[in-house]
Amino acid sequence: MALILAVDDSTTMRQMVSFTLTNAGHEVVEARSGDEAIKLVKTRKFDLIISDVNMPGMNGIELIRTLRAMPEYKFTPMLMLTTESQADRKQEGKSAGATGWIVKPFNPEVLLSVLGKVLG
Amino acid sequence: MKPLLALLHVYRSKLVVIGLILLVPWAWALAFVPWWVSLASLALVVPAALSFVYFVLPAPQAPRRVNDSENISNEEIARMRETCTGMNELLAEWLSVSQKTQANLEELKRQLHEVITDTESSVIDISNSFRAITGKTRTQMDYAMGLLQTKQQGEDADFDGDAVAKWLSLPDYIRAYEELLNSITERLMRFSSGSLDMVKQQGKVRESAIMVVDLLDEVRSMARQISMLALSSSVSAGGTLTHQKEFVEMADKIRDISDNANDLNRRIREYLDSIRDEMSATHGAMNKMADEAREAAKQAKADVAQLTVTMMMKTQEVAQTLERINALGQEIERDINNIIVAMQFQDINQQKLERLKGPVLNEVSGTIRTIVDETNVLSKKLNLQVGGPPGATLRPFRVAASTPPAKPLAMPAASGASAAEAKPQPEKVQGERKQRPTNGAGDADSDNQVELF
Repeated sequence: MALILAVDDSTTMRQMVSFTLTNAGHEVVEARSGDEAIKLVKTRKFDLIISDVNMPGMNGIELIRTLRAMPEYKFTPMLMLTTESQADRKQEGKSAGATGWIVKPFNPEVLLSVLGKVLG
Repeated sequence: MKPLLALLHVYRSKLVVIGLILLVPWAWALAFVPWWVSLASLALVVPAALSFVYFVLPAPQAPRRVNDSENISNEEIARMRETCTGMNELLAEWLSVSQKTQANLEELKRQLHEVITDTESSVIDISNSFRAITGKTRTQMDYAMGLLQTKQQGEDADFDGDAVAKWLSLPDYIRAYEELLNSITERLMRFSSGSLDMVKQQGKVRESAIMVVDLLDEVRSMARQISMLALSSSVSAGGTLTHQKEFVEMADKIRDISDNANDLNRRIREYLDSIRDEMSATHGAMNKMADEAREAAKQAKADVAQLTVTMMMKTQEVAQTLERINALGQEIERDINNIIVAMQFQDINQQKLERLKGPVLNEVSGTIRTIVDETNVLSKKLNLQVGGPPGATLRPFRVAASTPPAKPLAMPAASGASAAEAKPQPEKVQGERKQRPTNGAGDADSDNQVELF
C-alpha cells in the first residue's frame, strides 16, 4: 500500500482524509501547512500527495509548484482537495502540476476510486 | 424684566448657592434679633440676590439671528455655507454608507443563517448516522449471539416464518455431535472385541486341525506298518511250521497295531468333536457379531444422516446470519461515509464563520466608527461656526472600543468616492453550495467534484 502525505490547515479535514485512506490500508502522514509538507518530503519519499489550496503561508498551488521542481517528485501524483471549483483555479492547479482536482466535501468512495486510478 | 427672567432661567441652578451665600451671614443672628427684624432682613435678601444675579453675573449670549441688525461678515457666511455643505455631503455619504452597510449586514445575516442551518443539518446528519450505526451494530451482535443461543419453536421468524423444531445452538450442536461420535466409537469397539473373540476361536480350531493332521500322519504310518506286516505274514504263511513262532509274534504285532488304531480312532473322534464344538461356538459368535455389526451400521447410518441434515441446516443458518451481518456491515460503512461528508460540511461552515467574523464585521464596525468620528469633528466645527459656548460640542457618539479603527473616510471636500472603499466585502467561498449527500448520491455529483488532469 502507498505512503500518502495529506496537507491541510484544518485538523478535521486531515483526520477525515487520514481515516478514509488508513482504513483502505494506506499509510498517511499529516502536514498542517505547505512549509511543514516541504520539510516532510525531504525526510521521506511519498507515493502520493493530497493538498488543500487555501492555506496560510504557502498555499497548495505554490506547494505543488515547489514539489514539481524537485527531481524525486517530478512524476509523483499530486491531488488538490479544495472547496474551490472555478475553472480558472483548476487550470492554475493543472499548470502548477497537479494530477487531479477534488472538490470538498469528498465522498470517501470517490476519493479511494481516484486514488486507485492515479496510483495504478 | 425679560432680561432678568432670562438670567434667572440661565442661572437657575446657581440660585440656591447664591441664596445660601447671602443667607448664612444673616441666619446666625436670628436668635438675637426680634422677629420683625428677621422678617425685614429676609425681605431685603431677596432683592439683594436678584440684584446680584442681574448686575454681577454675566449675561448669556443672545442667539444670533438672521434678521439681527448686527452685521454678519461675508467670511462667516462663507464658512457657514462651507460647513453646511460639508455636513450635507457627509450626511449624504453617511446615508449611502449606511444603506450599503445595511445591505452588507443583511447579506451577512443571510450567510450566518445559512451557515447555522447547514451546521444544524450536518449535526443532525451526524447524529442520525451514529444512531443508525449503533442500531445496526446491536443487530449484528444479536445475530451473532443468536448463533450461540438456543431458539425455541417458532421464535425464529426469519426463516420464512415456518415453525421450526428446537434448533440447537452452536455449542449444543457441537456437544450432540460429540456424543453421537462417542456412541458410534463404542459400538465399533464392541465389534472389535467380538472380532478378537472370533480370532481366538479360530486359533483353537486351527490347533485342533493341526492335531488331527498329526493323528492322520500316525494312521498313515500305521497303515504302512500293517501293510509291511501283511506282506511278512503272507511270506511266513507260505513257509514251514518252524516259523510258527514268528507268525505268533507277527499276529501280536498286528493286534498291537490294531489297538493303536482303535486308540487313534477314538482320539480322532474326540478331536473332531471338539472341532465341531468350536466351530459351533465360532458360528454363534460370528452370527452375533454380524447382528451387532448390522445394528451398528444401521444406527451409524441413521446418526450420520441426521448429523448431515442438521449440519446442512446449521450451515445454512450460519450462512444466512453471516449474510445479514455482512449486509449490515456494508450499511454501517455507508453511514460512516455519510458522517465523514457531514463532518466536512461542518468544517467548511466553521471556516466560513471565521471568514465572516474577521474582515466583514471588523470593517463594518470600523466604518461606523469612522463615520462617528467624522461626525463629531464636523459637529465641533459647526458649533464653533454657530458660536456656541467655547468648548461646547454635541455629545459625541460612543462606539465600543473592541473594534479596531478602520481607515478614515475621505473628507467631504474630496469626493464621495470613499463609500466604495469602506464597503465591506464578504468573502464567498466558491463551489460550496450544499449538495446534501445520501447513500450513493455522491456518484451523481462525482464527475463535477473530481477532475483528473
